[in-house]
Amino acid sequence: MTVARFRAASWLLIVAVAAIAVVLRLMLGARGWAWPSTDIVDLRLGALASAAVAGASLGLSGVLLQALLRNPLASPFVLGLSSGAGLAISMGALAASWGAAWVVADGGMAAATIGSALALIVVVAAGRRHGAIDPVTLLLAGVVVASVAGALTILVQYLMPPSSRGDLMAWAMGRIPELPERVPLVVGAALLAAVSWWSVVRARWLDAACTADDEAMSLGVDLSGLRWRLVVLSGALAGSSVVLCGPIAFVGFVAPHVARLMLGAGHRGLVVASPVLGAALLIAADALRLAVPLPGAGKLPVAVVTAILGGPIFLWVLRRQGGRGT
Amino acid sequence: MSLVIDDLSVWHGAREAVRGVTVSAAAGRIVAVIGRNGSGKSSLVRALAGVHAGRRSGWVVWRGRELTSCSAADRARSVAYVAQRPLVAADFTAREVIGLAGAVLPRSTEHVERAIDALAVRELVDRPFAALSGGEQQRVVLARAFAQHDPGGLLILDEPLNAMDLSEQHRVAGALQCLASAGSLVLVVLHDLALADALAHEVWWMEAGRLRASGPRESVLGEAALGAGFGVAFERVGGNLRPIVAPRCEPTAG
Repeated sequence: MTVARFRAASWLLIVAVAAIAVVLRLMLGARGWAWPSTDIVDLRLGALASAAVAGASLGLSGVLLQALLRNPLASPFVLGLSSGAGLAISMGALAASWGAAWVVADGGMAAATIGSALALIVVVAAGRRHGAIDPVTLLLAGVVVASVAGALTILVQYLMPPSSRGDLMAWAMGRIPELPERVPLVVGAALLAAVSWWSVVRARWLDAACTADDEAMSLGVDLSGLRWRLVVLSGALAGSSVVLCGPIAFVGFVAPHVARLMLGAGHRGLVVASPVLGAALLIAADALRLAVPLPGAGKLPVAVVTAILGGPIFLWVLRRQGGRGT
Repeated sequence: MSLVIDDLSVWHGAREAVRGVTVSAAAGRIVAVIGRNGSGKSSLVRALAGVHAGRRSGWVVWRGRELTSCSAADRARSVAYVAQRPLVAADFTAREVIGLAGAVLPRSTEHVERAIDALAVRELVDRPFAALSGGEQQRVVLARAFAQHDPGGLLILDEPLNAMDLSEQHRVAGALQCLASAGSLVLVVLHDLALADALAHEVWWMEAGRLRASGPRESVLGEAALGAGFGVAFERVGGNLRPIVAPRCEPTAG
């Protein structure tokens, strides 16, 4: 099979997988398999839309971060962006409970973007050795930032009034809302569309950014400007997904990897396929969690499902990669 | 002169790597930049290519345009550059690496195909770049610079031949001579003085960040001057062929 035919078949497979995930999620409910009645379908469409926007945002954020850091191990969760966004949103919710509701008037979108972008800046600054980004140090910095942000999020939850604490804790474990708030969903979808368009236009710049800094600049790429945009956009996408569904592990890591295996390393394909696969993955994980309830504990949080699926893949790539990167 | 460098200084942090270099070169020439390790060769050519991120002062004018104040895209239209250690942190094929010439600039398939032929890398193009040998990778990266380069432009190469075998070096040297005869200016950093002697029209000799000598290769690559500069005895060898300068190998004491 030629490369062109293999890639055409891969595109068909990606679309088919996404369609199957959507149908599965629509048919699966608390009472098992069935096509939903009209009063139920709205709830399932709400969950579907939330998972699609959050999953696609994570997939696109992952591929942008991997281009930014020239490191296939990068993803919003591993680098602590999701935890940073989670902490910022929790702090916003705490401020709102103290009377400063304006902090989260936009559904927490601005706070989440600032939190995730700050986490990324700290991780990149701490992950540099001798002026260059060291992939292993970067991952360790991500682990530290995620741990500290996670601990501070728990502290903020303790400071919350008991009436709001339960909801925040459920969100912090990752959940796909069946009745999503309108503002984060619409803003998240608009952000996703805008960043997708920008990524398609700049896909060849992202290809060039995979070479050494000297070479990327000599090819005509404004590397400094590109990197700042990648920090802000990947942070905003990660923040948007956290606002919608809480911190979700490994979707932003697995989706670009599967896309790369199917379509090659060129970003023209990756920036389209990664969000589609990210959406399909999160929708499928939500369906799986409904289909396989834990005896005695009900439905698992969706982040647990994605972590169980994504963790082994991450270890496989880490072993294959051997710390290779920038 | 097509390329004029006036009082160019380059810093790495507090260290002045290039100190007030003033020199010029005409289009249609190959200029070899030589010197010992740490003499400032790479810093000089990186500044000329506009990829030095640190502090610098002075002027670099190419065909009447000041290069250091151009945007990256504008500069890329005039100057193609190959770094000392090419890095491709993605699983691209060799053809995709060559195609990066068109990442920002409009470069057609014809540009890419012409470069593939010029560097004779057609048998490599469908292979993963990471699976190629060091010399093959260098030829592929050179092909990318050729695809980016327009005739009459400036091509800057930092030690492009150091991982190549003799036949690959010969093929690349021929391709560079073709470019120069078509009106391009080729600046190439070389450690191999015999190759510099055989390939270049002119030589810029860097020492401790300063330009120790510049001019036609016959005048710069004298045995006595090279011996004094490099601390090694040189002789002219070649029999009936055009003699080239080469270090004389002698056993060292101890």
